[in-house]
Amino acid sequence: MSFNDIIGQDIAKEIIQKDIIKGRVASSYLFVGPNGVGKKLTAINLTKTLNCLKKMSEPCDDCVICKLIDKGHFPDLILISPNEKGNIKIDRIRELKQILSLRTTAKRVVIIDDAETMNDEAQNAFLKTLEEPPPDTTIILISSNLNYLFSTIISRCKIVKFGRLNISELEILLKKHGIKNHKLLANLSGGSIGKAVRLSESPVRKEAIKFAHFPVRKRLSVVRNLKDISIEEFLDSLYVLYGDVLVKHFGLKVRNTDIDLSDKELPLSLKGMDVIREAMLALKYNVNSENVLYRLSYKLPELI
Amino acid sequence: MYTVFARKYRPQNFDDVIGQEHCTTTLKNAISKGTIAHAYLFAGPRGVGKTTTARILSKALNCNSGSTPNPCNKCTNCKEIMQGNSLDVLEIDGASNRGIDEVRTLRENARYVPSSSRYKIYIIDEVHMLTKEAFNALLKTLEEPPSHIVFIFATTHPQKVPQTILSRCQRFNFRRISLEDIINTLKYIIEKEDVKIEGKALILIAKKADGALRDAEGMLDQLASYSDAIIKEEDVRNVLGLPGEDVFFDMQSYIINGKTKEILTLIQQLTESGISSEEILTGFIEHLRSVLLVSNNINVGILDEEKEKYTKASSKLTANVILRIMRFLLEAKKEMRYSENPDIYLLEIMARLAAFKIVPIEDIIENLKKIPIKLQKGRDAYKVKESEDSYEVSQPPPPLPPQVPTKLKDTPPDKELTNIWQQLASDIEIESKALAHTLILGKPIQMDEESITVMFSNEYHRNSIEEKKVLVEKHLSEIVGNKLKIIFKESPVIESKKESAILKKALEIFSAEIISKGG
Repeated sequence: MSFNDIIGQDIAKEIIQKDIIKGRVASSYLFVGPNGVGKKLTAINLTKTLNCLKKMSEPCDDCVICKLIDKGHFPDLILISPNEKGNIKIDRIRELKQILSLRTTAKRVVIIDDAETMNDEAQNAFLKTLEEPPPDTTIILISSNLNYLFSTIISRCKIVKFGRLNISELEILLKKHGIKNHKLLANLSGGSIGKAVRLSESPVRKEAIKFAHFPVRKRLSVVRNLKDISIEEFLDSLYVLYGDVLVKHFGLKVRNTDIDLSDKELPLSLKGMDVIREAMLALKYNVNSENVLYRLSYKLPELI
Repeated sequence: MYTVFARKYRPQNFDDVIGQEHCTTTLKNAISKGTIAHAYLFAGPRGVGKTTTARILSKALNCNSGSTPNPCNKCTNCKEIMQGNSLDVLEIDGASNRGIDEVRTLRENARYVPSSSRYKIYIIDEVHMLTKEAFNALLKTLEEPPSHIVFIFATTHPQKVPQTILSRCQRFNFRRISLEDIINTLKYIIEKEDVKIEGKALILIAKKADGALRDAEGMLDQLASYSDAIIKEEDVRNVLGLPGEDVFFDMQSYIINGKTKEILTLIQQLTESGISSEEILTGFIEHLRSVLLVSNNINVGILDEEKEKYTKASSKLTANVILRIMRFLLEAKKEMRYSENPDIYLLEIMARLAAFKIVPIEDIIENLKKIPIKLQKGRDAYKVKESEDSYEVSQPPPPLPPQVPTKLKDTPPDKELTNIWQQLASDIEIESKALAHTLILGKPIQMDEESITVMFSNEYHRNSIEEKKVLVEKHLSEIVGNKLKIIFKESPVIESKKESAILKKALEIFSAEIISKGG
């Protein structure tokens, strides 16, 4: 696995590779971009290239070190990811500091996956290390949502932006993984591979389409059948659908490429989107999800 | 290992600290006069020089050549501080050593005199993260520390530091660094590093840094390694993922002209090319800000040759309209943060914005002015109806009198009688509010020893009272003292209407008003 195997992300790859070639690898990076677009892969490739015995701008994938890293046995690649509760706590950072205080002979790389899940204490505890890490150490923060990271953290890192994959790139990727309907899924997910995979496994979109087209009474039966489906994802699918109705009115590209949407006037789609966002917000504020859906059933304009 | 610009060009002297003269000058003077406080608090946003100044201050205090505003950076003390291994300058990360135990250790150690320098200096960075207990444990030491101790606290969140700590420190507020200062500093680094950069690219970086020098240096660093010969504006946009200026001019004109299709197409293209919708929204808000400021001749770091473009763009818009659009977009930006589908959300808000008919506030006021006239008319129309059975005719029209008195005017009743009637209503209110309310609508006309005559204009009201006649009579007898019968009468509506029409005409002819009415 080398840089070339990462689909898309030309600019991000170029930035990293140029840093390596010019010997300007920074002490801390922040890789930002949607989930599943190759951030972690790039970080691992960076580790490989820095430590590869052949010293090129690409990892050779053949030497002992490259193989070690691929197998996850390389001692100087430290990977920190959220615990089962989905956050990174201050203890993990303290542990990391302890490890970093020891010397190393290799080019050490620390990868913090989902860095935004660090809680306040962890982020604060990390600031000093991040600004001036020990020699021969590169810290790579990976995040899909900068809003939860302190500006003081962000400002200490070299930011590398990872764009969303474009639709055709994602299509290729999905095909490679043997996922059916790759074209539709690529469109639906708007370029996020994680979302595409989730959508391929879940009936959520079908339910959402039914819901949107049904009159109120029948909608309630859909709501009752939603037990196994995450309501957030259901609302998300609805939002995409009404977004499609909006752009369809102006003859633009839609995401739900497989269904025939009737042309609706602008106020209908805007009303729909507004109502769905309201429901999403209510869920965020912990309103009883059933109530949210019932209310939505009554308020959402029908698509027929 | 490679050192990033921000660390490589960390100022080593007070004079090198950019844009914080109000702090550095005070500190320099304090050192030369020997009035050194025992606790300092440096507060300010990220990347403006708090930690840097703290380190310079500790060098200045401990330099071998004596406490001096200009540390030599050559002596062992200065060097040790720069390398971060001085025994007497302890840089503590307040965020990781935040508990009471750490503070207790610190207090223990503070008793010992410095090993080789004048002062023992504790720099506590990110001090806002200390726990409440830790802060409290520090209070006594902070108030009267041994003479060889200097505390320097640095924080981005001074509001999280307890008042009791704040009041024991000399506080310095660090400011965001101005665009000009950032540009000049970057120019200095560019010269030193032999990097070439386009003027526009430089301004773009400085703007994106948003007042934080470290951010600016970081971006420059990144671009220096990304670009081959010269850093172009396009490179900056590529690396930072920013759309070009032209895009925003297009967006603006589409919105003003209500071209929904065009703006949605543009946004779909942009997001598909990998630019994040947040960046588009932020960029557009900044663009509007520039348009607003440039049209008012305020410099926002726009090259002279481009100013014309902005002035032109502002010509179709009043400041009010721009501000209203900005307000809408800022709201939207807040919501976008938590959106799962920011791309679609951006399409939605842009469709909404383009669907707005943007009317200058002056026009709205103009329209509003017309409304009272209409309202006036409406009220007059209403009054004509009302005056059919009352005598409301006067110029200019006084506010509408409440319904009950108008009706009573028909036959100004005996004052005593009215009082009795009201007393009755309020007595009954205790038992039945509805009944009391209906009673008020009736008009007692006359009372003799056996009966009281009441007139109701509405049959329904009369009937409902009649049903409760027994109750009403009982209460009435309590007030009056003897038993009275209630006689109901329907009001002679038609008659009074006729009469009032004649009266109205008479009033018009004589332009008179009614003073009293007999009978």
